[in-house]
Amino acid sequence: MPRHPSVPLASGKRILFLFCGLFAVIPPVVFSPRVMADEIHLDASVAGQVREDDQSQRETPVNGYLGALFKDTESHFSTAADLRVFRDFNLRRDAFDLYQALIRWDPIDLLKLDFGRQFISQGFSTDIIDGIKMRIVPKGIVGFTLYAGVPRTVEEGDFNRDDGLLTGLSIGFKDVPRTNAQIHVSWRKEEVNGTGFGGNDEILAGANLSYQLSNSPRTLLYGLFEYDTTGQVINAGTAGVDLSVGRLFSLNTEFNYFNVNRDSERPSILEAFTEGPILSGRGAFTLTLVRRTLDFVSGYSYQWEEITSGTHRPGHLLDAGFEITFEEEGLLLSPGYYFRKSYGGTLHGVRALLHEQFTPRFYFSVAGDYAKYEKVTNHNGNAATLSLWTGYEVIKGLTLSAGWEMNRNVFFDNDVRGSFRIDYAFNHKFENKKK
Amino acid sequence: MPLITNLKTKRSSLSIIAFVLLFLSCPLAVEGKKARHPFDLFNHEMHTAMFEGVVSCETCHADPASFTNRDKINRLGCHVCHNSDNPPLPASNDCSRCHPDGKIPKPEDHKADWKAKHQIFAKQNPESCAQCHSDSMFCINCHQRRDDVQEEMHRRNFRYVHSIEARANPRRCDACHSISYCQQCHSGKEDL
Repeated sequence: MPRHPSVPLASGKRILFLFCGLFAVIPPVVFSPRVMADEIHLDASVAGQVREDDQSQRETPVNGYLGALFKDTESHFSTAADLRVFRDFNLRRDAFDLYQALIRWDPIDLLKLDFGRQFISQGFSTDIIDGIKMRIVPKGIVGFTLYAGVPRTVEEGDFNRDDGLLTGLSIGFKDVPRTNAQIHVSWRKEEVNGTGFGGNDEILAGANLSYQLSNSPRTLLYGLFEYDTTGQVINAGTAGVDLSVGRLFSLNTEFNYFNVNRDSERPSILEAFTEGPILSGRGAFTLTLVRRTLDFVSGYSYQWEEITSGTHRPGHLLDAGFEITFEEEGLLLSPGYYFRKSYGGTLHGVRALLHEQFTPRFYFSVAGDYAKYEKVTNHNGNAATLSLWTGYEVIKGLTLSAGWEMNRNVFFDNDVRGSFRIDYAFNHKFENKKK
Repeated sequence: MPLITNLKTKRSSLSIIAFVLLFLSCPLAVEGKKARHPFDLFNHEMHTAMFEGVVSCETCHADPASFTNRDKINRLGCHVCHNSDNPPLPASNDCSRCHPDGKIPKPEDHKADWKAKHQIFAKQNPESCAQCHSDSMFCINCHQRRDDVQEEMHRRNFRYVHSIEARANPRRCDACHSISYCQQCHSGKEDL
């Protein structure tokens, strides 16, 4: 079975140079008397594993994550950066992901600006873009958000290739009791210089609304509508109800319609599996059996999919389990069952998680999962996994963790892996900043 | 260290090393001080003395029962002044100042399959999410961050059963993955 390939983006020497450069530059900047920031937050994490693939070839993947946030309240500036460096020392593969590199400027209360690589969750998009986002919050009940930039997808392989262009505008209510409402419009070009309006361009319009009907029981009605004007297709329609009775029972029900423009030059996974719309109904609830100790959680969704023209198939997704918490003892138990059924086959599975926070510094965690599946291709089998993690905060902010994992499936009788993780968090606020 | 050539011995050695590390990591001292509730840090007399008539009691006591039962206090009342979009008295980015040991309670609407429904509310009002999830990396961790060392979004077994789940609801995959992600393994196959 092929291991999912890493994307080689840089040589090992370049990665090493980048890491050393960051750690050589950051401390002098941070501790310089000229530094602007009055709040500094650094998060670094390194996780590595030793394992063998199905060809008995050893792999030693190591992921390094670094996040930094500098904030200066007086000048209303803040900067944030988050990146990942990957190297498999045995296979000599490297990768580099830059998730965020942004400057945030709030010159006045009414205006917030973000420049650079950033994650946007606005309108129809959950994307990383290289661009600008501007939020205007005038006095009153309406706020505006504009954004524009080049979308970046880590899975596309090369951050720097032409990924098109994305622009959008959201107008919404703010500070209106019990009500949230937004209208959105966005324009996405697959190729910046591309012609052929229908395939290359995607103009979406939509609205998003929620209204809290009552306080007790807390009843929230919500809805969503998204329309692709270029493909003349309704992308999504959602109507749902969220209900909470005291703190003992929460219920959510939702009905959905999903479709996609099949002439777009930006294919989606939905398009790959269907030739028509999906109708879906979903229900979930959380029942508190013992307050702060025992919850029963369950969720089920049903899909009616047009997989080929005129042919429909159902899809079922079910999850049910308990969440058992003993706060005083720092113990969390989470056993559960899951069920999946589609025209691809049937799956039954059980999972369990135990997390014990012995002290604020020391934790232990064990998780297991067993799945039994039957596929329409007659590739039937079962898969089991067991993992253990334990960690200790040796000094403030620095936690060392070790892990062990065993997997059994159609490719491995005994796939044993050893892991480690080093986490470091540094947070500081300067109370009397010198100028 | 002797050269290990046998595959079984190699795997056993890895297991032994991992277990030794596990046992060596056990602490000797026990730190048992329990976390305080955020309301224990709240000075009611100071707040009423300074803000009576400016901040209404209903900001925190929307439910009349909350005057005698602090479990019914509007927990987001603190955020109105200290952690809203334009807070008059902004709190530190360090949430543990009020939420000791990082134990931040979940809002009521985070129950009943919040993971499945959160996209509507997150896109509707991302500033509301930012009250507790101020770092955008929180979203990126699920939607974009790559990690094949730790099980983050999917169970380790997911590779062997994802064909069933993808066909049950292919739109769920689109939330984080592009079609090229599938094609990296299923390359050259028009039919997935």
